[in-house]
Amino acid sequence: MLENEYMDTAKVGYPGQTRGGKGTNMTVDKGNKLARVSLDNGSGEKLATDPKLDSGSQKRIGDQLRAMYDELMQQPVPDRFRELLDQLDKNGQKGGSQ
Amino acid sequence: MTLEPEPELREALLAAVPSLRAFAISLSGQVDRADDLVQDTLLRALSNLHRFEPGTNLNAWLFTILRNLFHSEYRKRRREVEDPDGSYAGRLKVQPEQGSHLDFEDFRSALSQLPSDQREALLLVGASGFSYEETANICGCAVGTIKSRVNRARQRLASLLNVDDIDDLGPDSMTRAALQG
Repeated sequence: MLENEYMDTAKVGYPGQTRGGKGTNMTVDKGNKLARVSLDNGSGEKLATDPKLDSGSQKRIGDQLRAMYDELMQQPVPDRFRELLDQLDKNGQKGGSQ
Repeated sequence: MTLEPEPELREALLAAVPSLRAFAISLSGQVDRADDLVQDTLLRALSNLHRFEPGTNLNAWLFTILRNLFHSEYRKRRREVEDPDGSYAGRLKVQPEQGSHLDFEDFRSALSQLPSDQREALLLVGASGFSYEETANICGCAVGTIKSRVNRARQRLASLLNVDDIDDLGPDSMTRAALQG
């Protein structure tokens, strides 16, 4: 199901990666929206009570979410974190048990 | 048993910072507060390293800490954090100025309108790359609960963003209007 795609493309902790062509996805696959709707019934068994979003809409939302997140991931790491961890290198483990 | 903060551990923690920040910013809507959360997370992780099981997912462990810190703080500051006038979205103007043609204002605004349990589930599964099982562990609830929250979050976003009514939710409304005009 769709979430497994996320696992392939959305690994944690690697800044700087871009996930497949922000923007382009969203405009290019307009025509496929209806085609996708019918493909989405493979995983319906566990959520009988919640209506399921069609997979085209789901993909749009997923793309948008990850594009937004990518922008955040690509921001430089503030110096305070590097300094914090550098300090811990010097102090050994004692910093945590004062 | 205590783990030394080996250089490789330091690197692993540093490598986790961008994803922790992205999660914290998306969760809280405030960069300053998110950075404080990340810093507290790192400090707490370092002082509890003996509880980390080597070989398990360090990122999942760090996200669990951050999420718990966020919620204990959230309970304290509930009134302040509630966002009746949508200022969450306004505070989220943190994207770098890099001439990006995409603007995520609409999306951020919609995200801010989700209940926080749905928002965090969607962020963990849909953006941070955790499985439903990992997310359930991070949030301390059942896998089915996470699936339901993610599903409801998507439904809600789709309706807030009118995903079915517009051809493209990428550009902001001005750009969209221009494109359509």
